[in-house]
Amino acid sequence: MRPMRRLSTVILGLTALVGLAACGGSGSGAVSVPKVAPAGTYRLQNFQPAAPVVAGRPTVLSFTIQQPSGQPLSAYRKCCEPHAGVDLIIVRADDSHVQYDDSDIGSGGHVSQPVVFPTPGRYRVVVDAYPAHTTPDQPLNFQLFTWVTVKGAYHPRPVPAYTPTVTSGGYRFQIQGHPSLKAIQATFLTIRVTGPGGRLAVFESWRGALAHAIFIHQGSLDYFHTHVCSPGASYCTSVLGAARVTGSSSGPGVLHVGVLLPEPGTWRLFLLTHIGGRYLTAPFTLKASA
Amino acid sequence: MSLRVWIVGGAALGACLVLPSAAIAHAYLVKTVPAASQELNSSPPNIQLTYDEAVEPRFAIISVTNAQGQQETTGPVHRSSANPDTLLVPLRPHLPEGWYLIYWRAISVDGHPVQGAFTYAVGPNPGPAPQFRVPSISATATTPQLLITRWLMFVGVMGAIGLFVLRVLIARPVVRRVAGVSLRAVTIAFVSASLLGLVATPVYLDFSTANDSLRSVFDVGALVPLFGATAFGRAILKLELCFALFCLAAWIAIWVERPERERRSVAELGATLGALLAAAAVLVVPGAAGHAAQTAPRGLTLAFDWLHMAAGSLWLGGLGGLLVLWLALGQRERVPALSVVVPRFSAVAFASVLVLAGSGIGEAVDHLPALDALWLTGYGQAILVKSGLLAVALLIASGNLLRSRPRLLAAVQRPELGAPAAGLLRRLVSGEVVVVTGIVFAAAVLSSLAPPPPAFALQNSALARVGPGTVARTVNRAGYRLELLVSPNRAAAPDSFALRITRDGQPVRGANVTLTFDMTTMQMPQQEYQLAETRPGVYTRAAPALVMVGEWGLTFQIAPRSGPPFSALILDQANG
Repeated sequence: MRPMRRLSTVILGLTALVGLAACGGSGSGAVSVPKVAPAGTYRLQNFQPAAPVVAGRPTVLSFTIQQPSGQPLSAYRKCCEPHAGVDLIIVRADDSHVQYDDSDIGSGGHVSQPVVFPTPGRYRVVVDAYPAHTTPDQPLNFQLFTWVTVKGAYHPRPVPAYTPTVTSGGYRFQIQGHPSLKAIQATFLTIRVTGPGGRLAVFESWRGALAHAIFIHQGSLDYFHTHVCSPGASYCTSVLGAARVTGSSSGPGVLHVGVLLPEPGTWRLFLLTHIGGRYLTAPFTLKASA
Repeated sequence: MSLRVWIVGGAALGACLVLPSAAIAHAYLVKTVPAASQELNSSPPNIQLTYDEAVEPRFAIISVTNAQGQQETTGPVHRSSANPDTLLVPLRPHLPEGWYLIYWRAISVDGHPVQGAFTYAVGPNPGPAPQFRVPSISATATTPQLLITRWLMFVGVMGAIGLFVLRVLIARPVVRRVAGVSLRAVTIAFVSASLLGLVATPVYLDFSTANDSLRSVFDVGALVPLFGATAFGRAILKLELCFALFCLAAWIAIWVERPERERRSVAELGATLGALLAAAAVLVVPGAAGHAAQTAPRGLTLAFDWLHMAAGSLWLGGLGGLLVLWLALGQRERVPALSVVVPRFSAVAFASVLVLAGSGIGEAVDHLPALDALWLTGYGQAILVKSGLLAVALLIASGNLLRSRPRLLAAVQRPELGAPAAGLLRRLVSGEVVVVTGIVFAAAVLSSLAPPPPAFALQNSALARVGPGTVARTVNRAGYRLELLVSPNRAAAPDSFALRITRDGQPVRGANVTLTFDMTTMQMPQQEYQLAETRPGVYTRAAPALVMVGEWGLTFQIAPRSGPPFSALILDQANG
């Protein structure tokens, strides 16, 4: 019967459509998690030295910072110490030594700084950068990290136990009271500084602050930096998240140092000051409980 | 019409209007652990995402990648035992310091996929936040495969119901009145349509589930357990079950029917009534599974949808049946038989078309928040195409109504008119069948698209359009100067919103400023935030309010200390 044949053809056609529609599915049996392309990041480019260096000799650290766009970062804040340009904080792997260096920024954002590594071992280099903040989505400040190896046998030194008093350059730095530090809790340490003969130290402003407190976690070498600001130093702040831990000085010989240790454990505090025309570093050992 | 009929009709309409009118929105992320942009001091053991509804973990993706794009999850997404609305994914232990991107995708209860992304950091020294490239998975339900299977499902289900009605109610007398006529061809067409519907419905569900769960359509072993995982999937399963019951009831009704008798037996009446009730139940399900059930007032939209489906079924199935009957009839019986069937079908078709147009307009008015949504949105454009095809079908149908029908009736007295009238009828009905199946395809497209949300109507009162990217825009309203700052204006990220209000160059202090967020491109819950005055005349708030990529209506309600309150609406495009 012709009409019925036509009808059969229509049904067959529709069935074929269902079959055709079934074609073309992907072959994978599992839920496919999407591939995520690498993110655009700030990174150190052409960092030198790439090879191990010699202890006790000047070594030039040099690099540029690549922006997420791939272009080198060339516009840095020029004003407003202590937050300007690029600072280098260099820490020995055993937490026994820290140095805080400024750096020169050349054309095209090329950063260089001669540095002397005192002893063999591995050193973590913290590059603390302050861009000019030309666009709203640019960070005000960020840190990048890398390592430099110094030739020779590495003999790690044990971290000394906590002592409230350390001496540096003939000056006596003494933590007042019995500080009880807890991770993620902002607090202030009062440190009394006296010179030869017990005279109270007169702090000089250095890199926009009366003192720089550099905290390094033993083991992870995590880094945290606060300032002791002189009155009227409008750009001198120390803010971590919602916590303001900007230190102050109530007079000669007295520093109130802001502390906010982000994780428990042993921390080294390197208190950097400028007294009598000399840079002094007072290292303390601190314990933070959970 | 009697008073009693009016009362019953009025009561039914009233019942429809007072039915629950809660609109179901898409799943919405209400809490994350870790929080967006949070800097942690140690790596968390897992990622926890809490939604406003219980989303299905087997459909969900939670991707955690580092700045290099490496995946950091160690197992599948699963539901929290403490909270069914929370999904968890385990992470590699002790992830190193740095920033991580969380991309998530989930399927809402209504079957629509939603997705978003945010970042968190492991510190204390995570470094600068990278510029992550957020992936995006196509969330469309309008792939060719889905549209074809959905269309075939509609054609099968609606065609079967229409063919059954034609077979048992409209064409039945022809067997008695014209000797040698049988309805066997219509029965075969009905069986074929019902088989098509029975096959196409689970195939569509398989395709839809595969699309949602990002699996192959051939991965049936994995897909079948997921069929009932969403409300949409459950509704399609119900459709298949109801339709199967209807087919069974209809086959029984056709089997017991004796069309050569004028009066039906009790068995015939019972079987036919049962099958018709089953058909009515089948036609409720597509609306309950689709947007009709999500649009307020729910009762009214469901009623419109049911009427629309019923009228469309009668028209589509009836036309198909008429064509099959024409083809199956011998030359001798054709004109007498058509003289009986065509006038009866014309009356039904005419009423169906009126109902179809009326309910379609009602649905469009209900679903479209503004007139310009008709040409500015894909949903509105699909309505226009469907309406255009309906107009063409009506033109063809008018040819049948005005030319074929009167001539077939006149052929009883003047036999020479019969053959040309039947020929014209076949050509016109063939064309009408093609156009009506096209209308059903347009309906398949339409029902696959989400209608524009009520917030779409906000577009007409916006003072400005801003974004994507950081926003710095000034508008004037009610004598005030408003400077809007949005940074970074990214979806699924904590954004900062600031409004500087000045009047005659002076900051407006002490105003009460609230900011509401309405997504204009998708149905999402409205969010409202109070802004705090952080500097004289500057009101700010940081919030992860732009939860999805798309256009958002930012409405500032401003109540100055002196002077009348006013509002300002700005449309903001947020990208990933």
